[in-house]
Amino acid sequence: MNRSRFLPALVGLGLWLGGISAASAVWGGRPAGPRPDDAGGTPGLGVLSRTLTTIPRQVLPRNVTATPDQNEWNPRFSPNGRYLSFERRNGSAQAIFVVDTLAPGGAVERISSQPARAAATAEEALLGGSRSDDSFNAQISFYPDAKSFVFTGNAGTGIYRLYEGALGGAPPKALTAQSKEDGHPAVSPDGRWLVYVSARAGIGKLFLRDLTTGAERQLTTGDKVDLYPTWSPDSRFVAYTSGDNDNHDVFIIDALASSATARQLSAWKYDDLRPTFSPDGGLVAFYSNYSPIGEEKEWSIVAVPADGTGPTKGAALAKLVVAVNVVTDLEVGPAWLPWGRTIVYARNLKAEWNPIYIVDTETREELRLETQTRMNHDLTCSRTGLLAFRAQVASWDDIFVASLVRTP
Amino acid sequence: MRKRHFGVLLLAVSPVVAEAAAKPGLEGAQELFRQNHWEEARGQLRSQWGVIPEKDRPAATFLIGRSYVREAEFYRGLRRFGSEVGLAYLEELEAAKANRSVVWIPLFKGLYQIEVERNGEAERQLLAAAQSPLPPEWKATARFRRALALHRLGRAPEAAAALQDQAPESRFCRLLSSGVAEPQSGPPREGRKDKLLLAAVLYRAGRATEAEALLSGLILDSPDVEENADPKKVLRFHDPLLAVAWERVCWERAVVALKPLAVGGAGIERGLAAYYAGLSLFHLGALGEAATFLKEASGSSPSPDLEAAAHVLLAALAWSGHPPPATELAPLWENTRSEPEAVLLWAELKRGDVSKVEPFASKLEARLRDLLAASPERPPGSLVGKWGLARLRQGDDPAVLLAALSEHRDKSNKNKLEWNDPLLLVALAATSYRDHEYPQSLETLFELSKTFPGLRPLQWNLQGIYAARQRAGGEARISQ
Amino acid sequence: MKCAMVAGVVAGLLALSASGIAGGRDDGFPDGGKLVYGEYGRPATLDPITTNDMVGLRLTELLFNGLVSFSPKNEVVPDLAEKWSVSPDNRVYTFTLRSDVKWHSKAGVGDRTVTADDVVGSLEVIRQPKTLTPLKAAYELVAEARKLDAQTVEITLKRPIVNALGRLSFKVVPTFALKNPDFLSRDDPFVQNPVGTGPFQLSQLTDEGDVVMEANPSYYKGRPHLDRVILKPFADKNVLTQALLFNSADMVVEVNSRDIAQIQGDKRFNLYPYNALSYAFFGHNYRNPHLAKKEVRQAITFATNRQEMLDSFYSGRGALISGPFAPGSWAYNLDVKPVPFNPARAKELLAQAGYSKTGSDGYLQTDEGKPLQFTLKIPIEKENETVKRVALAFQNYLKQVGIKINLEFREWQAWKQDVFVDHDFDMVIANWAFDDSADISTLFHSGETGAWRNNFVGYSNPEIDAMIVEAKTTLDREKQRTINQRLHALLSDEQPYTFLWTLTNYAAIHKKVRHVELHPFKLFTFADTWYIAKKEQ
Repeated sequence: MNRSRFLPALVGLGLWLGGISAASAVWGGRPAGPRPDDAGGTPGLGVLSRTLTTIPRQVLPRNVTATPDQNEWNPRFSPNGRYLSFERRNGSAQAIFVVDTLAPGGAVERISSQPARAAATAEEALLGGSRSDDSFNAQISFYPDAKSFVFTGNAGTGIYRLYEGALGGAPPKALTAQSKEDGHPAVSPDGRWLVYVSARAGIGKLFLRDLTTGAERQLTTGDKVDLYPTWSPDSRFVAYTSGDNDNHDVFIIDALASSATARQLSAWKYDDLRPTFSPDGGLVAFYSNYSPIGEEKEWSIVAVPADGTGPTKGAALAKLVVAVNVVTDLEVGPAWLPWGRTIVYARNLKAEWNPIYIVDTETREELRLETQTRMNHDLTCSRTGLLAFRAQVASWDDIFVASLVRTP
Repeated sequence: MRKRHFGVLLLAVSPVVAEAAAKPGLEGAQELFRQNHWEEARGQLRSQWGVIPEKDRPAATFLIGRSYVREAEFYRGLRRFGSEVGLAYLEELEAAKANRSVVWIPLFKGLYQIEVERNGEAERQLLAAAQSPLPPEWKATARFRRALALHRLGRAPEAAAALQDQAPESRFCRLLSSGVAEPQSGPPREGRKDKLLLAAVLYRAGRATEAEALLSGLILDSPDVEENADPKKVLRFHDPLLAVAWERVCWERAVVALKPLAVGGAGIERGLAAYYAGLSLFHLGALGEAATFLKEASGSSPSPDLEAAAHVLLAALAWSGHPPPATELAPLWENTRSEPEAVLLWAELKRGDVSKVEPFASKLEARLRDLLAASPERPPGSLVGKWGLARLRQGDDPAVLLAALSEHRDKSNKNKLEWNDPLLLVALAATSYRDHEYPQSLETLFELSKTFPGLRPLQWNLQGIYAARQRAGGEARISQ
Repeated sequence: MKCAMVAGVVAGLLALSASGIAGGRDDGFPDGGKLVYGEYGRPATLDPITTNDMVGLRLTELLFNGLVSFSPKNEVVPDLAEKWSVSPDNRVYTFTLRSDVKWHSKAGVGDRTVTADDVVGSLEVIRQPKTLTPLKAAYELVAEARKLDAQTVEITLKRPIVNALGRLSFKVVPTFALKNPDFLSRDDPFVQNPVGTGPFQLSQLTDEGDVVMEANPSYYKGRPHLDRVILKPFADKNVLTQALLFNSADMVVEVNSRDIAQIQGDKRFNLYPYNALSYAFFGHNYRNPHLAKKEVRQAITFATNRQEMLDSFYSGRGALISGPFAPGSWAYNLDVKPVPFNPARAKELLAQAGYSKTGSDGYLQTDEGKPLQFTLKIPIEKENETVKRVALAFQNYLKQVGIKINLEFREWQAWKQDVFVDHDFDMVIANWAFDDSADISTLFHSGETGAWRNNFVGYSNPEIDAMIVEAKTTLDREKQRTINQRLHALLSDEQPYTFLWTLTNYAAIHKKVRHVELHPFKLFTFADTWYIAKKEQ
């Protein structure tokens, strides 16, 4: 059966007994009260880490979209976990939708860079009016107030820029000037900074904008494209992916230093993508196509110290693999849970339908989360412990949410 | 309802956000119209007419008429593409030794030659065909069609002499050559061709109801001749005149729908209806009636574009048969040149008379080339389609034109009607064909044929060209 | 006097430059610039003989030539052979080679030109049992190839076939530069360091897997316009799209289905459709007694909502098909409609076939009291999970009509072994890709059921056999059409496959690359004519 649980479970038992709490430095949303001791793993072989024991083994996810003939993907939470966004297409046009998780059954707000346009001619008006939205919108990043956001869109113009808007507010407005290509916006947790990728200088590099003053500067340099920037919880560092073929590497840079050098977190020949910070900021996890068993095209999750003191290649880095044979999210990196240093991911098992696993990166213990959903992707977790992902229902993908907080 | 594996959910599910649900009444019909499901839109309006509020009925009427105009333009583009392909296919057939004894090839070649305005060749071809061992009804066809070619060659008396017959085909050729549409129904007709051609004549003679009765249940996609002396080699031939008649029927339907609104309507609907009725009548050759409606349209300012277009059409009517003087052209051009529809109409009319008048001709060419680039907003697909077909007629490099047209195509939904205008798809198919991209062209037509009848002749002929010209060695590769 | 001399010198210089001593083209387009294109995955080998993946196949179009090639108008045109003649019985082809085609300048190659020895040698290497190449089956029809003189080659076919010239378009390699001139194996350095005659020559294979190719200044058609072409392999499809959007690549060979909309929304790129003649299918093994019943196969098709799967998993990026040809093929029978989705009809057919009792598990029962079930063998590439989704949906559809589908996932090579050699499967899902010839003979002829042959479902129908043979041997195109259409109708009724759909592949190319023509299959056949305007280089 699940061999991977045995050894880590023993290790975990040892560590736990040794007093190392995996749930130190929790970043918000910590479940209240002590939890009943629940072995979870194979009987008689010790307990899982404290964090893992707080997580239910089985959840009944709620289908948030339930559209019988449309796909939704890319769920993302606002920082406070209240709003959930996802993307949906109409033809080739894509819009972002936001739901309020506290008001299930409530309205869904549609976000697009292209405002509703009146009919251009009297004839058009006579034939039923407004022109359809043909813009493409994606990559939403919320401000801490969870009402405002930045996203990438083209407003139907053929040029991708950043747009800024607010829930229930006026139509979004362009935030960046007409440029060659802007994308991947990420608002810092404290709401002061915006980092994004722009090709205005040639190839895609990171740019940093002070949201208070509007001042901008180029953050990264070099001749490779930098992508998927993400903030550390203290709003100081930006981790990102850099490369131009099947060997991308992960870097981290001090955004607040006026001229910082990027620090390389991975330097081996494998493709390392989409870093994300742990809730306490101590670790950076990313996908890598390094496979411990040498399987071509199998991806792993690697978790390295965020301060750059860890190994960057070789067997030493390989030891920092925390999950293997994972289903990679194509737009964001590995999803951390708000407790301890745990990551939730879908595993690419051949004969199964991307079952969901949760791994404690410190103890390497895992548990399998039964959701009864299939082809699970795009996992993300809010800081209140709400898990969102997309899964296939009959032939279409819907967005599901499930609380990982155990009810007392 | 889909089976759910895990029961609990339905209660807490938030409502479905449907981007485009099927709504009843006018709103739903407008949605269908925007998705290019014209027949469905009309069907919805007709079946729900009783519950459509009085105030919405002008808009509903306009939608019906306008959809017929769109359809007519679609079939017009298709017809011309089809003529080119049909002739090329027959030439391929003719070139193959194995087809030397097929008597149909010369006949149908002549029929298609008329459609691409190679009237001199057609006349000779059909003269020979009329004397070849064909069944009598096809010899008659050869004679009638030859008369049409003669008329277009300026030999009207000879043409008239050959078209004395009361057969529907003869009557239809009379209609095309001299605009005469006799109102009598004649004896009942069984064959598809007879019914369709007679319907077109009756429509022009003001007998719309009887015309529609003839059209009911007509199948456009079967061949006119199936040659299968050798059961392992079946050749199909399609008479291009049916496409001509079908296009006319679409224009006639537009007129019938729009006329009441153009005459008795008010406000913007009246002006718009008048323009499109005038346009339809223009294409039907009913020049006097067209002029009346177009004058009405140009006076009521339906939109700058259509007003300009109306002026162009009126001018063309005035010049019928006589080349326009440059002094008249210049100011007209100045007034109309910025409007896309007008420019496209100029290009359409740019034959014989107008094409040689300079500097107008060069200016038109330049304006046509840049027509789409000038528009700040995304131009409507039908405009792009018409533009593409016009550029193709000008002889543009098809590879370059294909790239330009593809900009306006929704690649994720490559051939889907909901996201691509049908006329744009015709332009893409025609350009792909010229660029020797036969699979792409056939794929596009395949998708169109799911909604529109009458594409089969074109598809068949194009498949034949592709089969004749392909040189591949025979590879089949398996992949995951 | 002096003027005349100067004029003469000037004229001479002009004449020299016009003659293209630098191998330039006179099409008026500028030289210069580089094209970086991204592929998903690395080519296993870079030579045209051992390569067995599409990445490698496309690459070799840049580096090699064949006896003949195709023009953008699909006509056969001279390539290494400047002319040819055919014997009256259509079996003997005599090619006269150009005398001015040089091999890429590399150490050990010197300044050699292509000769008949190279052509004959290449064919022999292909046919040598020790050479592992997917081309073997295609060249089995060659009876003999021999050199008549240094520039003349005679190739004799075992039997005349339609489009023989198109068949004889194999790429020519310098057998003198192989480790072993008689056969080519993957440990031969040549496969990673190839030498060809094509418009580009390999300059460097970097440690990171980038394949850097430089313009061949001595290319016989004239130096290509682009200075350099670089293949960059990628391991993640979204990153590949991002590389294009953020200017690290100029071209993506096959755009990820989901990203087509995003790239389309960026006006800097053109999207080119290609490979229209392929389709997906479920194959049914006739050796399984239940699947040998036509009603069962038909029921499976009626039960499957193919349109829904196409719309959902592939964003509708294709069309349902009704038979063994793609709708873009000249052989497609337009009168034959795809089987509609009708689970009720499926149940009727199953009842007709004798399956009407349902077990307590909800599945229909066979006479032996077991559930009616089949194993669907799925070749699974690690990230290509769309097939998994299709399988999941399929399993669900069939459950509704009482058929149990067990899913078995196999690695590609293992899958091929099971399917093509052991015939150990009930059903499979896969794709066929065809060229313009619409030749499906190897898929359905009863003589093609042996090991590694394409009729792995074991379909056998004498009527179909006869039709297939006639279609292949007749030179009358219209006869071929008629026969193919009948084949389409018959196979649509018989359903040896549940025919699924054809998909459109797109290549995305930055607009700065001009005069782009793509070969519908191999893409880069005309890359020597592509150029980048000076100000965009």
